[in-house]
Amino acid sequence: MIRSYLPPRFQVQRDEGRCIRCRVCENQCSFQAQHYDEEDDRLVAQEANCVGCHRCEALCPTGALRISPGASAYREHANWTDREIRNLNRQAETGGVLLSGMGSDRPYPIYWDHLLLDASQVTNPAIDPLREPMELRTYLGRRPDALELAPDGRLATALEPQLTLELPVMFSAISYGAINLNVCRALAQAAVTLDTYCNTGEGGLHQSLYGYGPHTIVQVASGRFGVHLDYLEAAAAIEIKIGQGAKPGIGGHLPGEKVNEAISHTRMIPVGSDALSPAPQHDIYSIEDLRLLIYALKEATTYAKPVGVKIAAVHNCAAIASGIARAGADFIAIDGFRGGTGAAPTMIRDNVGIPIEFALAAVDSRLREEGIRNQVSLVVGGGIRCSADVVKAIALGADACYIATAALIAIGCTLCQQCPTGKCAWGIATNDPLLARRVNPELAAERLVNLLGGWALEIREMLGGMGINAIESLRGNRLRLRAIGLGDRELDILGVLPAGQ
Amino acid sequence: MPAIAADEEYCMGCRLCEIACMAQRSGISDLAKALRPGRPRPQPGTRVETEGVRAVSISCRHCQQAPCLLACLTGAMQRTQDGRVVVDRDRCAGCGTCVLVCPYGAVAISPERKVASKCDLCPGWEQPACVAACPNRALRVVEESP
Amino acid sequence: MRQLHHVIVGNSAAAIGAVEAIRAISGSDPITIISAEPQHCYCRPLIPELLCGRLDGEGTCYRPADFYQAQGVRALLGRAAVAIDPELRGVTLEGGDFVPYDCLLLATGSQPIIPDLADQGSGGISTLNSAADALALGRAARQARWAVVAGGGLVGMKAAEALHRLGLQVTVVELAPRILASAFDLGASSLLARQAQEAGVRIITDNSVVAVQRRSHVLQSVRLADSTELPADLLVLAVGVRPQADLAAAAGLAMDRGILVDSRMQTSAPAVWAAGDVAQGLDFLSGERRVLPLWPVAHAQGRVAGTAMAGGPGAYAGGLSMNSLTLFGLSAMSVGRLGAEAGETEVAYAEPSRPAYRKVVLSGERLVGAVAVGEVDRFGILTGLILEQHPCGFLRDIIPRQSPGLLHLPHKQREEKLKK
Repeated sequence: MIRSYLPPRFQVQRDEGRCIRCRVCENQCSFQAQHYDEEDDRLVAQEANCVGCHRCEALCPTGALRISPGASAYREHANWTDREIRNLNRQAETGGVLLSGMGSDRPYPIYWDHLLLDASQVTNPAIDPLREPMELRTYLGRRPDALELAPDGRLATALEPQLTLELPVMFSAISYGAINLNVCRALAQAAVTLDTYCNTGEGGLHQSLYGYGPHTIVQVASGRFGVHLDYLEAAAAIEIKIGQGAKPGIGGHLPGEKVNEAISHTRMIPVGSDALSPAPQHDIYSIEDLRLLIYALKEATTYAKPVGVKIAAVHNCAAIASGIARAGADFIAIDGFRGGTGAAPTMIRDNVGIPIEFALAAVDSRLREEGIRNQVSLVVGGGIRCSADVVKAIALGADACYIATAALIAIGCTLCQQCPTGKCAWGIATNDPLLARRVNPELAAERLVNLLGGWALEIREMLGGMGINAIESLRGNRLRLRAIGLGDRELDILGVLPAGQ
Repeated sequence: MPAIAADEEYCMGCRLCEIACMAQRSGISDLAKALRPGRPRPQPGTRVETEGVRAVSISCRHCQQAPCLLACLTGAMQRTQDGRVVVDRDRCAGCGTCVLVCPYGAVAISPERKVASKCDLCPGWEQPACVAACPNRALRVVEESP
Repeated sequence: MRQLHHVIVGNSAAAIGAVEAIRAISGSDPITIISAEPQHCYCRPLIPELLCGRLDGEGTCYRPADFYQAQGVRALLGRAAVAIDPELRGVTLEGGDFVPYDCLLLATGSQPIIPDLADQGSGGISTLNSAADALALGRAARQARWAVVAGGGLVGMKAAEALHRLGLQVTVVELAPRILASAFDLGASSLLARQAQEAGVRIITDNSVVAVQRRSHVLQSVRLADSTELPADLLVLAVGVRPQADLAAAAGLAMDRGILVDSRMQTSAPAVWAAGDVAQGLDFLSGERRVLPLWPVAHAQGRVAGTAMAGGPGAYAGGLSMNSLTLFGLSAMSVGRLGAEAGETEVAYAEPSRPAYRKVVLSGERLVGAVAVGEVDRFGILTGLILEQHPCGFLRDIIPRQSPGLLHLPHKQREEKLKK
C-alpha cells in the first residue's frame, strides 16, 4: 500500500525580485518550510511543510512572500471536502486520534452574529462616554439575598469576597505548558495594568509569577497540577475546573517531552512524565462531592477569596449550574464549544458541546427562575471575538467574559492550529527555548492592554448609545437585544425578541 | 553617552537589525533594491552573535574612554559633539588596531572598503534603524556611561 | 595656582597623548613641543604606505592640520634637542637655544639598529624609520629592481610589501627561524610567510646580511652570513629598533634598555617623565618593566604622563604587547604572550587551507595571550578578557570550534561587561 499523498495545503509564493537572501524566513520558520540553497544562492520552499502560520511573510523585510491556499486542489465536493479527505488519509496512515489546536473552526452558526443591539433615538437619550462618566466596573462573587443597613446608614450585611474588575473581561485559563512563561507573564502583567484578572489554567503558577497573585485566578483541575497551599494563598480567586469548552468530557494531555525542569516544578510532576489530567475529578462524583471540595478550598483559604467552578457548555448546563450555585460556588464559568485549547482530539473539539450563547441564556434564565441568580456570578467564554460579543453576552445575562484565543491572536497567533506540535513559530504555544523567546512579555502585554483598552472604549460607546451609563444596567437586560435570522425555538431559549418587534 | 542595549533574553537571532542597518547605510529607501543580491553591501554597524538557542546583537557602546579612539593610528576614530564615537572613513587606513582593542568586538573592517565600520547611532534619524526593525523589542536606546 | 610650563621632546603618539591629557586638565598651561622632524605629527606605522604611494603626507597625518594651534601648543618643529638639564630644568636645542620647563616629557621614540656592513659607499641603503626615509626609499625604489630587506619583523615585512607593490623583486633576510618573531608565534608566522611567498616575495630565515658589494659606488649585491650573494640595488635595514635615549643617558637618568619609569611614567629625575618607545614602563602581564614600542601603548603612556604632569590622578596598569597586521591581504592579530611558559597551556586551532589560525594562552584560568590569523573579527574581545582578568577556562572548549564571541562568556560576566 503506497503512502498517501496529500497536496500541500499552502503555497509559498516568493517574489524573486524582492528577495534579498536575508534568510529570515528560514531562521524563523519552525516547520522547516524554508531552506537556503548555498550553491544556487536562493531560498527554496518546502511547501509540504508549510502550515500557513505566516510567520515568514510577516517578518520578511521586503514583503517578498505570500502564503496562500495550496495550488493543488481536490475536485470540489460539499460532503467529502478537502478537510475530510485529509483527515481520512492521516488516520489511514497513523491509526491514531486526530489532534488539533485552538477552537473549532467548523462553520456552525455564530449566534453573536444573529444578535443586534439597541440604541437610543428620541427618548432615553444617548450618553457621550467622552463627556459623561461611564462605569464598567464589575464585581464577581456571591451576593446576599437581602441587604440590611445599620442605623447610621452603613451596610450591616457582611458581604462574601468579591473580585473587582475595571472592565467586564478577564483572561481565560491557559496553562503553563500549553503556553510558555513569557506569555504567562504578559497576560499577568496586562491583567495588572488593566485591573482585571488572568487564569492559570491547569498548569500551576510559576514561582516568578507569584507577585501577580492578586490579579490571578488559580485553577484546581482534575490533575491537581501545582495545587498546594501557597498556590491557593497567592491567588485572588480559585476556580475548580470540571470541564473545558474545547474538549468537554475528556481530560488534558501535555506530552512528556514538553515537561521540562520548570514545568515539572510548577506542576509538581517528574521531569519528562506525561501530564495527563483525567476526565473527571476523581473525588467528585456528585454535586455533594463538589460542595465538599468548594468548602474544603474555602476553609483552606479562610473564606477570604471567591471559589468558583468552570464547566463546559453542554446539554444540561442549566441544571448543572443550578446545582453548582447551591453547592456554594461564588461564580460559575461556562466555556462554550468554540473555546480554544493547546491540544484536543479533533472529533471532540468539533462535535462536542454547545454554543455559549445558548448555554448562557439557559443558565441565566434558570437561575433567575429559581430565584438564586444572585448567588453566583456568571463568566462566559468560548469564542468571544470582540467588544460587541462582550456587550451581547452581558445583555444575555453574563457578569463578565473570559477571552483566551482573542488574547493570543493579539500576541501574534494566526490560528494555524499546530499547537500540539510544540513548534509554534510565533513562540506562543511552545516551551522550546529557541521559540519561546519570540514573545517579549513587555511587548505582548502592551498589545493585550491595547486590545482590551480598545474594547473598553467600544463598550462604553455601545452602552452610551443605548443611554446606559453603567454596565450593571445592561446585565441580563435582554430587551436591549433583538435577533435576526433565528427560529422561534431559538428566540425562545435566548429570551430575545426578533428584530422588528 | 547613548548606546544601543541588547536584551539577550528576547533576541531571536533573526538578524533583521543587521538588514535594517545595511539598508539604512545604503542610502536607498527601497530595501529590496538596496540589498539586491550582487550589489555590494555596506558593513552593518551591529552584528548578531548566535550560540545554540541564544543570540544577541552587539554594537558599539560609544564608551567614554573609548579604547578604539585612543589606539587609532590615524586619528580617524573621533568623538562627535554629541558624544558619539565615529569613524572618518576617509582618514581610516584599515590597520585594524580598533578591532584589536575593542573589548566588545563591536568594530569590523569592512571587506569592501577595507576601513573600520561600526555603529554610529544613525544620526539624523528619529530612531536607530536596528531598534526600529527589531520585531521583538530586544534592542533599545539607553543612556549609559561605560 | 601658577601655570606649569610643559615641554615635550617628541612629536609622535606619546607626545600627542600627553598634549591631549594635559589639555583635558588644564586649558592654559603652556605646552611646547620640540621635534627634530619638521613634519606635522604623523602616524609612523603607516610610512610603508608612504613608500609605495598608497598614502600621501596628508593621509598619514595623525591630527588635523590646525592641531597645535587649536590645542595652544608651541611647536618647534625641525629643531633637534641636544641636551637636557634636570637641575636647571631646561632643554638645549641645536644652535644653542635654551627652553626652560616646569615639567619635561621625553618622548623621543625609537632609533633603528644599524648593523655594521663595513660599507664605504652611500646610496641604495636606508632604514625605514621616518617619513623622510619612506619618501626617499620610494624615490629610490622607482629606479631599482632588486630589493633586499634585512630583517623580517614588522617594519621589514611591511617594507617588503610596499616594495613589492612598486614592482620590485623582493627578498627578506631574517635572523630568527621565523619572520615576525616578536609579534607572532610560529603558527601565525608560517601562514603569513606563506602568504608573502605566494605573492612572490622570497623569504630567507636563519640568516643575515653581513656585507654589501658596490661597483662604481652603486649597490650591486649583498652577502649573507652563509656566504650567499643576493643581487640588490636597494637594501632596507630593518633589523630592529632601540630606544632613542641619548638625552636621558647624558643627563644621568636611571636607564636599562630604555628610560626607566614608574607607574605614572616618571623617571628618576624630578619633573622629568618619559613615554612611548623610549620608555621602559610597566608590562601589564609580567608586572616588570619593559620597552613596548607599539603605537597604542605609546599613546596610552603619553596620556598617563600628561595627566601626571598636569597634576591629575591615576596610574598606569601597564602595557600589553599587541599587534594588528595585514600582509598581502591576510590579516593577523596578537595580544599578550605568544606562547605558554612553564605551567601554562595553549589551545590552538589551525586550518591552513583557508587560511585560519587561532590560539589562546592560559595561565591557570587567566587569559594571558592570543593570536589569530585570517578570522580576526572580534579579536578585541580577547584583549578585553586579558585586561579584565576574569576566569577564561571556557575558551578551551570554544577555540577548537570557533572564534570566541561575547555569548561564550559566562552569563554574569557578559552582563557585567555590557552593563558597563
